[in-house]
Formats: sequence, structure tokens, C-alpha cells
Amino acid sequence: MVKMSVGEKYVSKNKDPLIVDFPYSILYKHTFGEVSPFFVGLKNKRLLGTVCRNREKHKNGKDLLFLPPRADCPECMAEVTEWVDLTDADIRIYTFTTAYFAGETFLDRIPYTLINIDVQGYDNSYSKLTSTLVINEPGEINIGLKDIRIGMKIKPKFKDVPLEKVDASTLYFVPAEK
Amino acid sequence: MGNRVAMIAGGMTQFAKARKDSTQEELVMEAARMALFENDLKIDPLDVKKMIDGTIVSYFSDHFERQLLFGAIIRDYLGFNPIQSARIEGGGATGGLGLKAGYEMVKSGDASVVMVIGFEKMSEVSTSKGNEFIALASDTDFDFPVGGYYSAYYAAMATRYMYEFGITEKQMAKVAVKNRNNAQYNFFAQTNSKNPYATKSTSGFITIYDVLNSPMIATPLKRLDCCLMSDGAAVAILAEESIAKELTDRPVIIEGVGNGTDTMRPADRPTTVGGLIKDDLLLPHEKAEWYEDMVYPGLHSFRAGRKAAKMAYKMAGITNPLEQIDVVELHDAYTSSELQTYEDLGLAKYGEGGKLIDSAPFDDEKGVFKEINPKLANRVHVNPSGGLLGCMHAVGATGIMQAVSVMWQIQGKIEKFYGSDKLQVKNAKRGLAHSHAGTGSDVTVFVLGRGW
Ligand SMILES: [Zn+2]
Repeated sequence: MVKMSVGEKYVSKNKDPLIVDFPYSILYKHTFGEVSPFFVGLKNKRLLGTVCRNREKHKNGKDLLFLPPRADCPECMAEVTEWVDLTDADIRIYTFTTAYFAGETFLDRIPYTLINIDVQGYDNSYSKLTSTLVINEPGEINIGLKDIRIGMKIKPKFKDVPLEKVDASTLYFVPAEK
Repeated sequence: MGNRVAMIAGGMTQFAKARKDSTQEELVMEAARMALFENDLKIDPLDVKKMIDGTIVSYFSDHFERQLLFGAIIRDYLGFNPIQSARIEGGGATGGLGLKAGYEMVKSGDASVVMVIGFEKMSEVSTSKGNEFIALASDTDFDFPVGGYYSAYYAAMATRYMYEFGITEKQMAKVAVKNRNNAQYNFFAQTNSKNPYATKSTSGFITIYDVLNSPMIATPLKRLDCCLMSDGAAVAILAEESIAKELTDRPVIIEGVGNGTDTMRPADRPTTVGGLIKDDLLLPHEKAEWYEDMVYPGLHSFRAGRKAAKMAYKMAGITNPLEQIDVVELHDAYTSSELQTYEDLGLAKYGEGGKLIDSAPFDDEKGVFKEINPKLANRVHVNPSGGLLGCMHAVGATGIMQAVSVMWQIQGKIEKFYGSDKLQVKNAKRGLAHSHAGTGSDVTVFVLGRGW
């Protein structure tokens, strides 16, 4: 016996809807506020994070490194004013994925590898910044997609862009070991 | 027990990649009409409608249709002015949060009967633009500009999940097989070939080989590991218990409600050793020694899901979910996240989500489960509707579709609505509906139980 869903009588009879075009575009004038030094740092080829040292007030009892940077500590509510330069720090891959599909803006870049980073020497609870890994940069260590692994050593690199075009994608990483 | 709140009725549209035949408000009417007219209410549906003294309108994105204040259009179209209403938004958990808001309206006494209305129409922009709109629900200063989008965020989490616990791509693929093949018996499902709006080329039964050989989206997630994008609507009607009993013979009681949260950016998820215990997230059936050395939540677990489950279980008196819950509808945005969610809900030990899917008899040669809607751990059914992988993900409607599906399971009405009794869990007394946003930024859990 063929069963029917009550849904069958709700199926639309309309076979001829009118479909028209609605274009829509916007330019945002966006501020990076008090973490602007991070983005100015990228322009100057430096990787900067902020640190809150009120460790006795933090849940894990440790200094907290913020990367993405924060101007305020979510745990002790203090203003965070100390910037640390991590350009030459020991940085590893915490996790990664290679993307073969993307949102419209990034379709021309596929395949590309997204990573979360792991800065050695700090608790990494607030500092696993999302970035990209470039594996075939001329003049740098080149590896295959299959060689990318958790724990692998990487180093920051910076695109040359005018200050008004700087964003998080100005920063990227390359392998620092095979 | 005070004034408990019950679910009494639900409705949903046929889900599809594109429902060009109808506007959003017309789709919502389809679901609302079904909720009022098809749920065996004991009095005239239009008299029930007159008793509704609050609505919640839940939809995720203002971008998909370029329409702000959509709630006003919906209320008008359904004829609910001038009664109280609010729009609720919380990413992928919009539907669950909408239900929670409706529950609170009744629980507080501000309303006695509430219609919760969820919808999304995602087809008016291209799929890649749609992915971008969804990606705007991630951090647009730091994560989106580097090429971030949701499948990639989940993929990076899946990479870490596999690394931490030894989960395999095959275990993940099994989730897609289970949910997608369930959907073939749910008339509303987007991938059901019998759905008149289905895209035939992307419908029908699948095997584990189809999943493993489908195009790579973001390693390790392949096309069939990723949820659908849909047009559609879902509606639930909630009522104060004594009124609910006047309106239906089969009220389904909301026994437990929970909600948890976590950071927007995966980057900021704590990696605390023993974090689960420090955050007081141990469930009654778990032992502290299991998790004392485990980093938590890291990028492998959804702390918000555990928090929501713990809260809902406490309210509902659940001390061992696997023993006390018959059917679960959970937010399987990705096959990996269904496995992760088993652990957050306490259906499996952390790290053993893969073992739970492996517990169901599987035909390795054919690459399918030996039965449709298999029992996990010989006990619980997960996502009989087909979930987000097989049925739909019309964001604002999703959590409501799943809760209504659990209600119909408990009421024994699956055959009537899905058009097949194959997915009816026999003698289902208690169910769980889970709704989840972002990379786990917002999660709700409802425990629903038989109220007659
Ligand atoms: Zn602090």
C-alpha cells in the first residue's frame, strides 16, 4: 500500500513564478579601534599580540596571550596595554584544513590551506589565530599538501599592501621546516 | 510541578534547494496551516488560533532576502497582529533559541499559547555568496578575511578531533549514510527523490563509497559530509500544560531546557587540562577520572553543547541519557559534528563518538547500514528525520523542524507526516532536540516527554 504524507496536499500549484534581479552593494568604513597597532604591525612586517599578566585573576592561573589581540581582558576585565612582538617566536600548527571550495570572495584562491596557530611559550587558550599557510612561496621552504601536519614549525610573512588595504589576510605563514 | 509547558502541534514545508514557487511568507503560511489543521487538535483550528497570544519569529540572516524586520511581514501575513511578538536570531541555533523564547513566554505567564515560527530562504543568492553570508556569522575582522568559511572551520576542528581521539573519515562518512538514507523516508526532506521540489541529481540513497568519493570541500570534509542549504519553514505551537490538555490528547511536555555558549572564534577556545571538570560540566553518569587529563574544550569539543545538555538533563532529571532517551534529533551540520555532539550530549564518552556510530550493524560490502534508522549502542536513534545532511538546513527553521520531528515521534505520528512508518521509533517516550550555532557558539537542548 502506498502511504501518503499530509504534506502532499500542501504542494504548490504555482509553476510560473516571476523572478527578477535585485543588485545590492555596500562599502563599509570599518575601524580596528584599539587593536589598530596589530594591523599597523602587519604593514611593518611584525606580528604583534597583547598580553594580560594578571595571572592570579585568570581561570588557569597563567598569563594570557591574545592573538587575535584584545584591548580588554575577558577574565579580569582589565585594560590590556602590553604588546608583545611574536614575529620571531616559535610558532607551530595547532590544526589545519585545505579548502577546495570557498565563499565568493576567495573562489579564485582555491586550493588554499587554513591553519590555527600555536605560539610556543604561552598558554594557547586565546591565541590560536586563524591564518593561511602558503606551501610554494619562492625563496622559502616548499612542501606538498600531504606534508602539512599538526605541530609543524611555521613562520609569519606579510603581503605588501597600502595601509588602507591592510586586513587579517596581510599576514600569512610559510613552513619553517620540511 | 507548576505550570509546565507543552508542545502540541507542528508543521513544516517541503524543503528544497530553491522554492521559487513561493515567497518566504507563503512558505511560512504553508507550515502554519499544517500546524493548526493537521495535528488532530480537539477544537476548531481557527479557535485555537484565537487562543494564541504570542508569537516568536526566528530567522537567521537579513542578507539572504535583503529584508530587515521580516517578522512584521510574517505576523501580518499570518494574521497575528496586534499580539506580542519578538524576532530571535542566534546563527544556526536560531530555531532552538526561538523555541526557548516561546517556552519562556508561556512559562512566565505572559502568554498561554505561542506559535514559534522559523524560516529561511537561502536560494536567492548563489551558493558561494550564500556561503559567504553564513561566513559573515564568523569573526569578520580576523577569521573571514583570511578565507574562512564554515565548512573550513569545521574541517580544521575535525582535523584536530581526529588527531586527539583517532576518529576516522570512514566513521564520519557513516553518519552521512545514516542520515541521508533516513531522509529517503521523510516526504519533507530535500534529498528525498519523492519530494516534488527535490533536485533529482543530488537526491536518493547513498553508500559510504559515495561519501568518501564525493568532491573534497575542505580536508577532511567532502561534499557529502556537509549539510544542505535550503528554503523552507517550520512552525511549533506551545501551550501551558492545562490548556494543552484541552487542545490535544497527546501533549508533549518540555521536561528540560538548556542553553550554553562559547567563543565566536575557534582561536579563543580554552585548552585547559581538566577543563571539563573545572567548568563543572561532568554529567551524573560520568566519572571525573575519565577527563582529569583531557584538554577541554580545545578545538575538538563543543563546550556549549555540553553546558546546554547538562542544564536540560538537570531540569528533566536525566541521570543517564543513553538509558533514558529514545530518540535524538541533533544539529549534524557536518558528519564530524554529529560524532562530536554524541560526546557533548553524553551518549558516548569523549573520544568515543566514532565507536557509537560503529555500534550499529553495517554492511561493509554494500557500504550501508543493515537497516534504516539504525539503533546506536542498541538503544538510541539519532536523526531519523535525516537531519541537516539529509532533510534540510533552512537556518531559522532547522531547530524547529528537529523539535517538531521529536514531538511527532513521541506522539506516534511519523507515518502521518513523513508518509512512511519506517522512521517511527516504536514506543518513543522521551526525546531530545538539539540546536547549534557557529562553530559551537550557541547551543540549545530540549528534553521532550510524553504528557498523557
Ligand atoms: Zn586578565
